[in-house]
Amino acid sequence: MEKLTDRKRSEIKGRLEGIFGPENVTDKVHDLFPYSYDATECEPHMPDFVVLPEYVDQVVAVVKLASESGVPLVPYISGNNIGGLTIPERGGIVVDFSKRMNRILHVHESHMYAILEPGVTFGQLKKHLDDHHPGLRYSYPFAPPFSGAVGNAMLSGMNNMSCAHGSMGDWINGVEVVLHDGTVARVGSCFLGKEFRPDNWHSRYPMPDLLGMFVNWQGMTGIVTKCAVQLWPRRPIETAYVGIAYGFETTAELMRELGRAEVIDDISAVSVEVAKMSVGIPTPIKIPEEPDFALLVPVSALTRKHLEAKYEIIQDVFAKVNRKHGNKTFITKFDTFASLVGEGVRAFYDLPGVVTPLVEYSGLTWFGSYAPPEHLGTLFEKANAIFHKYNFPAFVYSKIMKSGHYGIFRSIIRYKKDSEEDRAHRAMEEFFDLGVEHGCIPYKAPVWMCERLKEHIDPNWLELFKRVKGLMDPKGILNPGRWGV
Amino acid sequence: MTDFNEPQDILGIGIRNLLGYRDSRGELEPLIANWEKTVVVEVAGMYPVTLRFHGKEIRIEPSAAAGFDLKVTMSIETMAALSDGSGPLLEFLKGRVKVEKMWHLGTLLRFLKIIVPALRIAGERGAYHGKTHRS
Repeated sequence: MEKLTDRKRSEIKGRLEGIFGPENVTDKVHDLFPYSYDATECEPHMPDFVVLPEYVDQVVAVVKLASESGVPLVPYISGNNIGGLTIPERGGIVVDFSKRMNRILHVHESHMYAILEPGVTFGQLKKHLDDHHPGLRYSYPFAPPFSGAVGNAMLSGMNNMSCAHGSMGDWINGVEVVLHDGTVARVGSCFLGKEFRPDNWHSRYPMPDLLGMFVNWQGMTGIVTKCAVQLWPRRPIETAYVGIAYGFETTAELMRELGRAEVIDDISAVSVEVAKMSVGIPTPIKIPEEPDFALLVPVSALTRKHLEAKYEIIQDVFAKVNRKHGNKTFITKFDTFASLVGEGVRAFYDLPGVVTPLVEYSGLTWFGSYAPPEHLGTLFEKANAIFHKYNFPAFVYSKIMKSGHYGIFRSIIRYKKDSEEDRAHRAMEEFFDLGVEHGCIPYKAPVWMCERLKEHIDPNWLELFKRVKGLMDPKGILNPGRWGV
Repeated sequence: MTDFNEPQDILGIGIRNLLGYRDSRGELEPLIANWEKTVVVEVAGMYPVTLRFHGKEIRIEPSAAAGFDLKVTMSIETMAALSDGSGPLLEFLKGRVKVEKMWHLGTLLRFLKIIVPALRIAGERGAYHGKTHRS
């Protein structure tokens, strides 16, 4: 976008104030600045305006204004993603949903879904369900409770039930979305009927699945104003176990086997350094005798006997892996582990909990990817070497998704923005190369990573991608610059 | 209050926490006063940690010191069982707690007096949090 002239800026500001009210529009530098950057090394860019919508009509109006004037729009929720996803690459208007468009519009008890406005957070949804719908639960990600639930779903994040139920992108029943020209469309079973009804958001099939035109697009094809997410029955018993494992391949095999056993809600493995970070050692160094990974294994059950049966199966998996690898894995109750090692590890389990290691440095960046489970052991080993090469504590986070159909592999670096950014970025480039070499696909990826990914993918996919983007956003106003387009 | 070093390894951190529970209740100091002993605790399958008791000071190191006064080996499961209330004698008779230099009976009994109630506190804390987490 060309730099706005003073006259144009003034005109747009006046129109924005007409749409949102003057108190919900700003172009003051000190207000705009926090929206110009995030924790990553991605290059900052200042927006021209920030607006705080409350109603869909206002979103429609701002999309029409942007379309008419060619000013970019960037949807924003909590801004704590680590992919530069809400940095306004080409300036424009940041649409911050977190302040006023954050209502839980409906919870359908029998169909088990919630219709959310885009600003709803995980913490907010959890509290609402706990208070008003105790028989239902959503989930929590490896992120603070103030993270946006809709953003995480639309970007196929993961959560504490991902081993059982897969990516959060799969949990979306439907969305209401504002298209580039201000058209409001409902996608999913909610397309039935001329008007919005809260009772028909139960599924996304069997009609053509148009959700694919919005999920994982990082706001480049439309602005979501409602999203129905699947809820799950709350089981009377929810607990967790902690595994400890020596050896990269042993850890990977243990994860795969636990996934295939289909008795756990989730499994997430973290480098042992991360467990130490969470109990107050900011820059841990692993001694050779220590285990390589700690694994959090949430499990839910209907009865005590149900839980005991599940635990017996889990123990059998550990025993099987130990027979093969020589007693290199251990299991204990999460609560016992937390009491022994330190209460800080509780932040990993259930909300509300801020995972301290993620927020205690000024910089945070990652290579987050969907990964082939069979390569996890190799990825752990080689990632560990990269962490050592660049002198950062190892911070691998990994999951098995949907019983093992795919996995998650993340390398995370916390760094000091003023002195370590360049080193962190060079390490990230190596993590990217390592991941792609082993079949990993980055998600919530920053622009530089998408640009690099293009060198490795089917050119016809890229052509199709560009055509869809051109069709959905002919004027290039919807979060332009993402994916380098 | 007892003067601890700050161990950097996962088992050392755990033992430091355990002893800290008792120290914060004022129970540790009388037990370790003038107790000049070196005790090795090994978690089976993992690695040994040395505890050096010296005056009001406890140093915790991730290795087995030569010339220890006592060495106690047990698994994570046994630690969990002790924290859940199982008796140390029972665990010993079942072969789940192994002791080297058992003839230092006074040292053994004193160490069990220090560590077993600490494990129990951990177990109680775990049980409390377990309830809050619907388990």
